[in-house]
Amino acid sequence: MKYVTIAILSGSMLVDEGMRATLMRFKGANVNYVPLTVENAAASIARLHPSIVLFNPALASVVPVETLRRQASESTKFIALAVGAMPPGVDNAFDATVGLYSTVDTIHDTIRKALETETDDTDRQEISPRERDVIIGIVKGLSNKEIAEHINVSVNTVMTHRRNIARKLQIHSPAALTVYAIVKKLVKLEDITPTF
Amino acid sequence: MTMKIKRRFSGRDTLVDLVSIDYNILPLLSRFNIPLGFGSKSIEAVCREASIDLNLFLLVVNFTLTGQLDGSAADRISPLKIVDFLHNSHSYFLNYKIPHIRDNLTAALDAGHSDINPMILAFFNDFVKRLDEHFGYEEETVFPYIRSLAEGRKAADYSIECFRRHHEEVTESLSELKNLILRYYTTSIPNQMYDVLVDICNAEEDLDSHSAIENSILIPLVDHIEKQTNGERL
Repeated sequence: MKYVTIAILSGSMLVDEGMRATLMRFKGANVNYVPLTVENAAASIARLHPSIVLFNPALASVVPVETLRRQASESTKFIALAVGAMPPGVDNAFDATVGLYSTVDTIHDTIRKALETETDDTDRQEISPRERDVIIGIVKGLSNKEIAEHINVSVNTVMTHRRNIARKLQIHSPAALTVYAIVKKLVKLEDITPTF
Repeated sequence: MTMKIKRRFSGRDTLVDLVSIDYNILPLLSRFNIPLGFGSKSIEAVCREASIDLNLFLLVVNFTLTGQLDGSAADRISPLKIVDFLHNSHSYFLNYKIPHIRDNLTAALDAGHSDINPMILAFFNDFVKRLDEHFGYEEETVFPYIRSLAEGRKAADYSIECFRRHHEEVTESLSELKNLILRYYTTSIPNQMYDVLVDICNAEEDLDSHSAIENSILIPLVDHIEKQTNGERL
C-alpha cells in the first residue's frame, strides 16, 4: 500500500485530533498525518511535500493559500477545511472542500479522489527513475537487449518503458530523445552516439 | 487543412472574396503561383491571365475549403494539369518554404544552447532529406508514369496502386520537431522561435493538404484512366 503525507492546518487542536481519528480509518493508503501551526506551515510543507494539505480558510488572512502553494509540489492538493462560513473569494483557491459537519465517508471520498488525480498526473507527466535509465541507454545507442541486461530487467519490460516514455514525453524518435536527454542533463554531449 | 466551410466557389466569385472567407487559403494561392495585385478580378479572369486551369483551381480550392470532393468535376480534369501543379508545389516547398523555415530556425536558436542547437538543425535537415526523397520518388517514378499513361502508353511494370501503397506521411518528423521545441527548448528570447513554430504548423498543414490532393484527386483519377486503358485493350 502506498504511503501518503497529509498535512493539516486548522488552528484547532480539537479539529486536528478529530481529523486524525477520521484518517486512521482511511483505507487505500497509509497516512502520515502531520498537524501544522501557522508559524511552521510554509517550512513544513516545503520539507514534506505532502500529497494533501487540509487548510482552514479562516486562517487565509494570516497565511495566504498562495504562500503555501508556492512551497508545495505541483501535484499537492489543497482541501478547504471549512470550520465556519467560507470567507468570500477563497473557495476557488482549493481543489475540494470538506466541513466540520461532513460525514466520515464524505471526507474519505474527498481524500481518495484527491489522491487519485495525483497518481494520474504523475503517471502522465513524470519520468520514473527506471525510465530515465532506459532513456540514457537509448541515447547512448544501446540495443533493447543491452539496456535490459544493464538494468537487469527483461527485454519486454524495456519495450514497455519505451512505450511509456514516448507517451509521457510525446517523443518518438531516438534523435529527439537525445535532445531531451541533453536538455534535462541526463547525459553529456560526449556520451552519446550520433543518431543521424 | 481543416477548414469546415460549406460554401463552394465558382469562377464568377472574386479572388479577394475567397481569401476573406479563410486566409488559410493563401499558401495554396502561393503554390498555384498566382500573381498578387489581382484587384477585384474574378477567379476565372485571374486564372485565364495566369494560365492556370480554372477547373483544377476550383476543384482544389473547394476540396480544401469543404473537405469534400466534387467527383464529376474531378473527372473532367487532365491528369497532366494535376501533375504540373504538384510538381510546382514540390518546387515551392523545397526551394522556397523549407529553406525559409530553416533560415528562421537558425536565427531563432538561443546561443546558450550550443550543445543541442546543432542537433535541432540536424533534425530539421533530416526531415528535409526525407521530404526530398519522398518528392523525388514522385518526380522520377510516379509523374513520368502518369505522363505516358495520359499519352496512351501504359507502362506494364507499374500502376498507381504501387504509389497508393507506398505513399507515406511526411509530416511526422516535422511535428516531432515542433513538439520538441514547444516542450523542451527553453529560450529567454522566444519571439522568433514562436514565429518558427507558426511557420512549422503552417508547413505541416500545407504538406498535409498537398498529400490529400495526391490521395483524393490524383490517385482516383489515374486509377480511373488505368481501368479505361485496360478496358480498351481487352
